[in-house]
Parts: sequence; C-alpha cells; structure tokens
Amino acid sequence: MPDRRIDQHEAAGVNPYGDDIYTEAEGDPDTLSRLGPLGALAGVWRGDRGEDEHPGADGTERDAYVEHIELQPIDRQTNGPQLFYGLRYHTHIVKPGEAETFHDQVGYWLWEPATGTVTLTLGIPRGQVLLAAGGAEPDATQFSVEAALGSEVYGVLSNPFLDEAFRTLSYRMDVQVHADGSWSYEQVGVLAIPGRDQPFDHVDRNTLTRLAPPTPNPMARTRTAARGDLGIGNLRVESGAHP
Amino acid sequence: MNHLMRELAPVTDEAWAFVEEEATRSIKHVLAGRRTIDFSGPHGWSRGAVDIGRIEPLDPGALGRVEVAQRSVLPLIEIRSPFTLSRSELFTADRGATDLDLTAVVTAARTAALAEDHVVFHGYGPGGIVGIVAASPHDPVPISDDYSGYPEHVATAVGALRAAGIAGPFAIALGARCFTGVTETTEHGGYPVFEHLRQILGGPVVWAPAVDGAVVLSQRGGDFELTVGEDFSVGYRSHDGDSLELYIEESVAFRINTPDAAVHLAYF
Repeated sequence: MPDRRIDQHEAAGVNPYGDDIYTEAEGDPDTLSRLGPLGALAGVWRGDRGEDEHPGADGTERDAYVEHIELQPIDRQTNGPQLFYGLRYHTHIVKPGEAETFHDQVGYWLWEPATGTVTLTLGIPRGQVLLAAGGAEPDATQFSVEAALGSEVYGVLSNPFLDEAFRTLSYRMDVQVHADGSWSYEQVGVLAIPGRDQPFDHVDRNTLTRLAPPTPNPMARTRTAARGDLGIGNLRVESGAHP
Repeated sequence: MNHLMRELAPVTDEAWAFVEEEATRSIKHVLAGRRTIDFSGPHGWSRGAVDIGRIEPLDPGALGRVEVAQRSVLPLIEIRSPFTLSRSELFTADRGATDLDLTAVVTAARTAALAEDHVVFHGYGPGGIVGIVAASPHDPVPISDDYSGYPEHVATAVGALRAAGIAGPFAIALGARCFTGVTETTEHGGYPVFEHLRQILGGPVVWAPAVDGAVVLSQRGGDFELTVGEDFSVGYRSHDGDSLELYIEESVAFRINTPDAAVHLAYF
C-alpha cells in the first residue's frame, strides 16, 4: 500500500514540503506539460471492448461494455507547499447497443512531482468514493494506484448498504500506456459479500483509443491564446468607491 | 504569433512590461461599466457575435412549402485606440530607467476605456448597441450643481426602480462633474454626501467619466451584460527608425435584458 508515502521520504531523510506548511508552492500554468505519467491519458477516449466481471446471485456475471472517458487538465492545485497537476475525468459506460447508463464515474487523476505520486479520486453515483495512490516515475508507461478499507489516507467509503452487502476491502488499478498512444487499465475491487467464503474480485478492464486531444487548462489558455491581453476582465468584484 | 503581431515589434520584454502596466492602470482607472454590470468573457478574438435567441422570418421563396427564419445576433464591435511611442524612450527602459514618458499610452488607454463605457451607458448607434440611458423607460431625475440635494435625487431614482419591481442593491455611476461635486460636499451637520449615497443605494458609488450626469442601476444581476471577445490588448502596427505605432484594442458587445433596471440623473 502507498499509505503515507510522505513517511517514505521522511524515512529517507527527505521532507519534500519543508517546515512551512502555509506558503503556497509555485507551479507551471501549463498543466499539460507537467502531468508526468498522466500526460498520456489527457484527452477524450473511447473503448469498445470493455470487460466487467461482477458478482451475481449465481456467482460471477460477465458483461461487455462501451466506455467514453474524458480527461481534461485542470489548473495546478496546492495545499500550501504541496503541488499537484491533474486531470478532471468523467467516465460514462453503457452496454453495447444500449443507451442506459451502466456505470458513471467522476474524479481526478493527480500527479505530484515532488514525491512521484499518482493519486486517483473516484466517485460513483451509487454512494461510494475512494482515494487511491501509487508511486511512479515521470516518464512511466505503467503505474498502479491502490486503496484499502480502513486506511486514513488512501481508503474507501461506502454507503451503509454497500458496506454491508458488497464491502470493498481493497481497490487496485493498473494502467499501461501503449506505443500507439492508446492505453489500457485493469481495476480490481476486492469485495466481501455475505454468504461467500472467499472475497470476490470485481474486475473491469478496457483499452481506450483517443477521439480528441485535451483542452488546455484555463491558465494555459489565457497565456497562449491571449498574448498581449492586459487582463482587465471583470471589475465588479472590485466594486466600491472609485477611484 | 497571433493577430496582435507583437513579435514583429522592436520592443524588449522590459519595455513591453512598462507599456502594459501603464495601459492596464489607465484602463482600470477609467472603466465604470465593468464595475456595475454583468461581464461575460473574454471569449477570444474569434468570437464575432452574441446569440440573442431571436429570429427574423424569411421568405422561403424557392425553398418551397417550408418556414424559414434567420437567427438574430448582436455582432461584437472592435474598438481600437492607436498610439505612437518614441523608440529611444523605450530603449531607456532597457538601461534601467523607470520614468519613461508613456503619456501616449495613458491617453490611448483612457480613450479606449471611455469608448467602452460610452457604449455601455450611451450606446453606439452604428454598431446597433443601445445604451443604458437611452433604454431606460423612466423619466430622468433632474439634477443640478447643488450637490447637497443628491441624496434626495438618488432616493427618487431608487424609489422609481423599486416601484418598477427592480430589486437592489443599487449602484450609481457618477459622471466626472457629479463625482467631483459629490465628494466635495457635506450635508447640513457635516455628513458626507458620498457616504449618504452609499447608504441609500446599498451598493457602490463609481466614478464614471464617460457618463453624462449619473446613472442609478440595479446590482441584482442579469439586467445588463457586457460581452468581451478579446479583452483590452496591446498590438503592433508598424515602426520606423524613430517611432513605434502600437494600439490598444478590444472586441465587445453590450445588451440590455431589463431596460427599466436603471434611471438616468440628468443635468437640466
């Protein structure tokens, strides 16, 4: 588990944040150039050959799915000295030939250069969220994130029914970027289900091919599209007596 | 390089910084509309018009038994304010000078900002833009140089707005003549007229040199909208051995959703 990776740095005698927890980190306004291993995921993607293995009343049920996922860069984010570059994503999944939503998911992929950490936030409209993370090199083409039930940092939270009937004990997602620009993932949620002796591996896997490039983040758009712009903008927020 | 052609200008980064800082400061100093109305943008130089959601029926003619309509839009206008700078003066910035003569920048910036505010408050007929003053259906509130009477005038305007169902808070854009008089005047008892106006309005009192008289307008939002394509930017036109031709420009449109959300205070 990647819990408390900062401890790993501290154990190595390195505190990437320093002692000042208030001063905001400086960062590059161009997120797309700073995403490390996540750069390859930016854009709009489609995967027609998704495979889902999920629990059913009679054991394991298997479904094919079609996935549309959009990952767009956001402006750099800071927690004081901690600096993230990230992608906001929305995944929408249907069964082949159907219009009804089979799965919907939103969240962020974050890259923290200072610690070489990839973080995934995941929220689904069935009352479940999780925060997973893992280490990676900036130019990695394979990386993984993990979360575990009960962790105070990279954990899983479910609504009471899910926690009782399909308790997620752990989560892992492996990502691989291919030479042709496509990328694949396999994610495994280990579930504890009443009446079953063994934990159940809920597995999803798919390969995504790009439909469209990403839209640069707002700060990058401002910098590139409006060179010469004086940045006057909306002055209403400065309302009051003038001059 | 974009359409501003700045890379063609023989101007160093240091000199550009001086020009932009002075232009920004001067434009912000003058602008009043953006302090009191809704703002949309910047949407970029390529934005050409604002959708207004209306259509104009057309004769189908050769199209046969169909109904044809054309979408109506409000085109953005381009406002450009040129100015000339001495190249030798700009070179002094590279040597460390901090007292450049940028009078031309200030003048051009002020001219551009005044033009935008004129569009907002008094409209621009050739561009098909109606300003707040002309659109208001309320009778103008007559004002004079007796500035101690302004609280009463403003209260009258606010009362007219409330009677028309327009909620506050309210702001007042004071033309230069009004603003000077208001700030220099106290009521009987010494209470500043300026502060009294703020209490009546519940919103800002704004210096608006482009306004003839004054305008009281609602701050509830949704009544007046300025749409900016390219926000105020500095571009390059040409140069010779001695001088440099630059300009400040923007593309902008203004529309009114609720004409009765403002009252003009006019000198008689």
